[in-house]
Amino acid sequence: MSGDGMNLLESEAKTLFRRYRISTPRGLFFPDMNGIAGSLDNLRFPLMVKAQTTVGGRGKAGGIRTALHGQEALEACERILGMHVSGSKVHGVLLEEMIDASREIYLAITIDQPSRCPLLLAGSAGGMDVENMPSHTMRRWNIDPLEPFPEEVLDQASHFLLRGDQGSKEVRSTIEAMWRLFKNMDCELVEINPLMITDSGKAIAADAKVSIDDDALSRHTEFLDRYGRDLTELERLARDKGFNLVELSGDIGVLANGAGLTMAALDTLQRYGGRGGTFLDLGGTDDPNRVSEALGLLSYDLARGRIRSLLVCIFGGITKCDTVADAMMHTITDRNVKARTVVRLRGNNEDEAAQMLRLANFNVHIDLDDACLQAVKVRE
Amino acid sequence: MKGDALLREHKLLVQGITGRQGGHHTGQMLEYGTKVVAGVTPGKGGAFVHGVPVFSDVQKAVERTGATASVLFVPAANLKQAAVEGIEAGLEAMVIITERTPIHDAMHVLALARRNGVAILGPNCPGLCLVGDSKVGIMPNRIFRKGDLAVISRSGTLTYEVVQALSSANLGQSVVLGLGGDRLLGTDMREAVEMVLEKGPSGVVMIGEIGGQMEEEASLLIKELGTENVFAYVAGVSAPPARRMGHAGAIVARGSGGAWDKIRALEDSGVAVGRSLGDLVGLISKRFSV
Repeated sequence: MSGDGMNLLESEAKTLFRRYRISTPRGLFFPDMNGIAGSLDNLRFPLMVKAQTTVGGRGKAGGIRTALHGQEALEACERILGMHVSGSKVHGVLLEEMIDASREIYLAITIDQPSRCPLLLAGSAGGMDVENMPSHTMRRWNIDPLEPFPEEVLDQASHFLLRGDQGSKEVRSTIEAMWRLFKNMDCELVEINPLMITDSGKAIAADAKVSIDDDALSRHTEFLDRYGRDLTELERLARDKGFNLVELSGDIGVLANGAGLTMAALDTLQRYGGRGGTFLDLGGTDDPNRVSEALGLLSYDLARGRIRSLLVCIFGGITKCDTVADAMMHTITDRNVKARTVVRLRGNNEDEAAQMLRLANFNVHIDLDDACLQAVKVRE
Repeated sequence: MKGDALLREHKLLVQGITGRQGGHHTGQMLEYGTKVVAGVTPGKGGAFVHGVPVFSDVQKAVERTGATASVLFVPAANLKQAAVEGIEAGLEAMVIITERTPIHDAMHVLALARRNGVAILGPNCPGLCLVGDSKVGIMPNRIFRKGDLAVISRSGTLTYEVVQALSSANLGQSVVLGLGGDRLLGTDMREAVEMVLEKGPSGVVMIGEIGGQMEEEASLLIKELGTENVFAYVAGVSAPPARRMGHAGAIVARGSGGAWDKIRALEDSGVAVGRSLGDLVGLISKRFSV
């Protein structure tokens, strides 16, 4: 499972775990090779060597290795630090002592959309992909967000997982700690897969996934600089200006106001054989200054050749379209950029706006399909 | 939840009335004919915005003006406190325009509202219009035309597009509901369909998008009721997986929430799904042309 918010690295999540008194294996994090060789003496072999990424799939990509001695550990680190996992950069490596466990279980707290409540998931068969866990090994409980974590759910979950065997007490306290972390840190997901139960009944989190709601990051400033570390240059520039921008693999830049409209424009392009290169959503606004700022970003993308045409699709509901048109005429003066730009304005004063832009030699359309067809054409 | 409270006319209170957005849209709502009776901004009691008296807290505003519903334009950081205040003051319905509300705050507010029987629209929604009578939120005043269609949407500007196109094609609306782009919504698509059907519309137009299971759940209801004249459009067929497309709720995650799954579920329930916006309006025109 992956969260929909800002995913922490395993090493960062485990730092939080320790703060909330969830046990983790002894380990050390390194962003690069510096200092690894000199630190190996402080760890007890065999070691797990794990790629630190914000995306899933590192196991299948070869990002988790074991090392029986120093030489093996160093080789594993070299390899992992040069890897990409699912197209995403590896941000470092975590060296961890291996845990001897009698069983592995699964625990997660996440947000359940249909019930609009937190959800506790417990699985008696941890250590594999949650999607592959047999359904009879999994149980779910909706939790009331207005109340303290219910005692009876702790009882039921620990009984379901361990059937009264050793470790019940530690499983209960782990769930309680996860709940505190989930609430205090505005998490969208706190997941332990697997939680190792040792012969002596200790519970140790072998892996850790924490995803923090990016809309709540202002309350957790220690993580602010982690936000956006996987963004492209253009995405970062846009984020700093307060736009939603997603870089896509096609070559037509799409700028629209509102997420739904932006998606609809991209979908329509696809119908005519075009592929979007950017999703740039201004939000609900049709503020001419914001339109100009966003146009600046995409002109830059056009100039460096990542996209080859530009589709601007604005619904003028608050502002009038002619005001937006005026701003566009002042922003796009370069002949080359203009030739590759297709505009579609709807809403207040759409006819006046179209007239103005046409006189200034812009490629203007009222119909979305026409505009998309043109955007596909002018990129040639 | 008393969802139908959203579809009644209210004496409206504007929370965050002295902000730029709150002030502007108070003017627009008054122009539309909405009974805006009060505004609230902590510390700004005694002021007036477009002739509407401002109070420092919701309780006082309710006591003095008899307000029964509110629309919230407060910043995300203050949303939880403002919404809790509204619920505790006994409002029947609240429309949350505020974007980027932390999801734990939304969860708290929605749970408290449910417990107290308060209907919520949003967060991160454009509001609603009971066409010809009252408008709550930020939808443009001039796009509507009085008629019998109900429009339910997860997207703001896409709603305006569709409503304007319907109006131009002489296909009027009785109610337009913008549910919001967040993952957790006070009123989801299934609940909205249930609500508007009570009003006996000639047809229901649903505008969905990628993410979650809302469209699928709504189509189950439509199938169960055998509702006819339901039309839909789903945005995001070209969206890549695992990327959040502007709205917090618009993400194809873990192989679920894709546009085609929604389109198939809707069509399976007898809903006519337009493959483009033009298509959608065409389908509706065809069905209702005399």
